[in-house]
Amino acid sequence: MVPGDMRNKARSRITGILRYLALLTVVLAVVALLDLVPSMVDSGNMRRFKSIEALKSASGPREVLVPSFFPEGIAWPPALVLGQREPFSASILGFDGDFDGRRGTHVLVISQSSSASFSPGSMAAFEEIRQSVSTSVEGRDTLLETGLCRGGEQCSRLTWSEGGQRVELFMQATSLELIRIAESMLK
Amino acid sequence: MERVYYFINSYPGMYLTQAVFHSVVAAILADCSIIAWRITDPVRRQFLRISVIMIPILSFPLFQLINPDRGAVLFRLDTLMDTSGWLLLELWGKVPVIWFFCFVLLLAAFIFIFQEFLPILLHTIRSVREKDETAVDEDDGSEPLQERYSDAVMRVLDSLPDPRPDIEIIDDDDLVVFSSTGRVPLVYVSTGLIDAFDHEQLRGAVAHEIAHIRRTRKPVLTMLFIFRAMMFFNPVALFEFRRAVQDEEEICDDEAVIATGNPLALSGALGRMTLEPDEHKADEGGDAVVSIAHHSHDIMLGKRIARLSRADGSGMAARGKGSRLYYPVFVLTTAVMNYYIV
Repeated sequence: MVPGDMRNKARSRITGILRYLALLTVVLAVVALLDLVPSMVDSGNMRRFKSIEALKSASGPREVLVPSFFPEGIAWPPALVLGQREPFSASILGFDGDFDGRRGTHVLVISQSSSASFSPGSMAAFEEIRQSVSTSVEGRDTLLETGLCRGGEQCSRLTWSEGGQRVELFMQATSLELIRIAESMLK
Repeated sequence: MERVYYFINSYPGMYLTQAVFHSVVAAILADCSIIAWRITDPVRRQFLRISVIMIPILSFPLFQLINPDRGAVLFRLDTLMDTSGWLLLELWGKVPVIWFFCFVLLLAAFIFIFQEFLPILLHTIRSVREKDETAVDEDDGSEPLQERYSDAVMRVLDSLPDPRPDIEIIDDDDLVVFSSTGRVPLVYVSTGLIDAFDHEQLRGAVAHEIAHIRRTRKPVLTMLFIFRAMMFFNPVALFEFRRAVQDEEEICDDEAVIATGNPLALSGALGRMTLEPDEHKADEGGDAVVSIAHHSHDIMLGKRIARLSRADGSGMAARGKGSRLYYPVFVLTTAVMNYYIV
């Protein structure tokens, strides 16, 4: 190939890429703008809140349960505060912490929802459930599950119904601390 | 709406919604590629359209394999676009957007079944059942049809390269030429067309149909039909398939020009096949759908005629030219962008 042809070919490639990137930028901007629309019209979909107080203001009459006891090592305030109103009410609080010598994100996850099927997903999921028992905490019938999370960490989950809401506590630790946290929410 | 929420967040729901949204993105980026790289080669354009239809079939399963938490609450919050935000939106506080979305999907499926799948199925069944039919029609007791037209047809066939399929002559005054691509490929030509076209125009028209027969043998078109069927509910796949079919016509035009060396003859033949003004007049006050179909038919023919009539001979000048970098760039940017559209 003649050097002039090679130069032309390289120039054609570069201009093609630059034009494409320019168009791609416009497309990305439009998609990002479109994604903002539902939150701008206050659709009530799941979104981040800066604090628990902001979540409580947006939740209206629905009570957001917050523990008054935290094991040593759990960081306050929560690193993650999520909430939605539509199509059903739900909230998720995620606490980071140094717990049992392990530093981690979302070592404690508290979710609350008017839908019985709602789940925080992988942040509060077992790899393997080893034990599942019904127990009573402050007069509420609860389900206590223990097992292993991803990475082989020991995890516990406590779920119960409170005022039409399904409450779920999930922690990368033993069940004892979890029950103490739940008791502080229900007193 | 709670049930809708859980369906959208289930695997089947995510597959349906993301198939459509991913194909929208792929279609937009394919057009961006065509504009940015100035792609005029219909083979390359068709390849992009096939990719647009194929990508959503694979994208969701592949992305979920890479990251099973892709549908989770936390991932959705940090994406480029969370489609459930739009789908769960209620217009005027009452009408969920997802109803319109479902309506569009149902309409696309309906069009696929009744305009594409059933006609092809019926045609296949008919061609398997029917024995070889001759289109010979005894004419008023004088020369048989074939004898009258066989010279013109044989001269055309002899002047074209192999493979040369059989040609069936149809007794019809309209200008009709089409091919069937079954086990025994055939080109059908009407008596009206043979009478109206000169030798070169007839060569061009028959060469175009032979190109269709030859290309149908290739796996690319078979894969296109399979992908199209898998995305039967996807309105974007519907549009891109139609555009790929238009590209196919241009590709066959190019192959006919290679065979005949006479782009202007084929251009002239297509010009003769543009609907006559009185045929358009018949649309007035009649069926609007038919009128639109006739109008778009003429637009498509007009584009092909203009392309063939260009000073450089035909679109063949563009064949294979230009950087091939467009395709990996398109695939990469589409994949990355779609990964963050949940």
